[in-house]
Amino acid sequence: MVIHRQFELSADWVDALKTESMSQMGRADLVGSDKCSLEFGMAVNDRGRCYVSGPGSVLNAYHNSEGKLQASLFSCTDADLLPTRTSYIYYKEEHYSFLHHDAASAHITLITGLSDKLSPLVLFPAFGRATQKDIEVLNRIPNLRGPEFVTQMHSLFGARGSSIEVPLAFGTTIALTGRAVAHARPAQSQPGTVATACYSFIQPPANYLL
Amino acid sequence: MQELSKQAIEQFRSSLPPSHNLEMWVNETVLEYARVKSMWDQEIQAMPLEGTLLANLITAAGNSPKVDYGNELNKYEALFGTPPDYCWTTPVDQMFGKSAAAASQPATAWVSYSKFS
Repeated sequence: MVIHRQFELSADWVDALKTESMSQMGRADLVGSDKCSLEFGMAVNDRGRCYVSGPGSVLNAYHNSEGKLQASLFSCTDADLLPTRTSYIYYKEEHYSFLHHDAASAHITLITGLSDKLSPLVLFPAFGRATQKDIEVLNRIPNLRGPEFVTQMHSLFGARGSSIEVPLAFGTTIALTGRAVAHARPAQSQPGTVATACYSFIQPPANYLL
Repeated sequence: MQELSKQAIEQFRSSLPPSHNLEMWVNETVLEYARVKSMWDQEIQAMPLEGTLLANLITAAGNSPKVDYGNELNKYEALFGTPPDYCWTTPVDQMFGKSAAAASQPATAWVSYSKFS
């Protein structure tokens, strides 16, 4: 299974999404928690801090057309894939999404950079499922910028903490198997905005199950 | 079980209060409709709780309600890799009750029914 792929989104989509993200910013709400928690399927979730807004008409249209096409191509299966959730995420300086697996309805997630100088997405392909002990260890890690976070993860988890950094430039989209592969967006050194679009299989292929 | 038409989805969407979670709720209920249809097609007896998003979409799609048709819902996780979610288990009234008027305070609803992605 390919765990991630990057592609350039067309300038028309990028311009429209960026414009809509700015107009939606006023509706965004601060969400977050200082602690990881263990979800069903032994998934890690909850820790992070950012502003989130629901989609407007442009992001909804992208979710149901271009995004769905890209997610289907990325999935490399014939299994039916449906759009589920989509949002704009606004990071202020030091905001972050800690190590997590995506929601159960997000077998595939597309993340599009809508500003410059976003911190890279960090994937942990060998981390796998989490235990309660893992959660306790993770909760002792402070909120760190990318290089320090990567070092801490490797130091604490050994091979499971090995990571891949994927740059997220303005106008670039990363497709990833977000439910199966743990990932993080370490603390931003400056504000940044991304759009996320998630997709779920009706009947998940075995290799997409966490 | 009826195929899901665009008209049924629109009727279902228009029955929900405004919220920035609206499209997520519609999309994820459509996903669960496909899954319940798959279960019924395999003669697996499973019904969502009354008043939930999925129960409402099943009705909007023109299906007759099947009361007490739920003793095989425990097969859901083996089929789809996750337990039945809020579409199956949380009545819409409770969702909006919990979120203290989701239309005006969408963040609360978002936090309750979504995770980081």
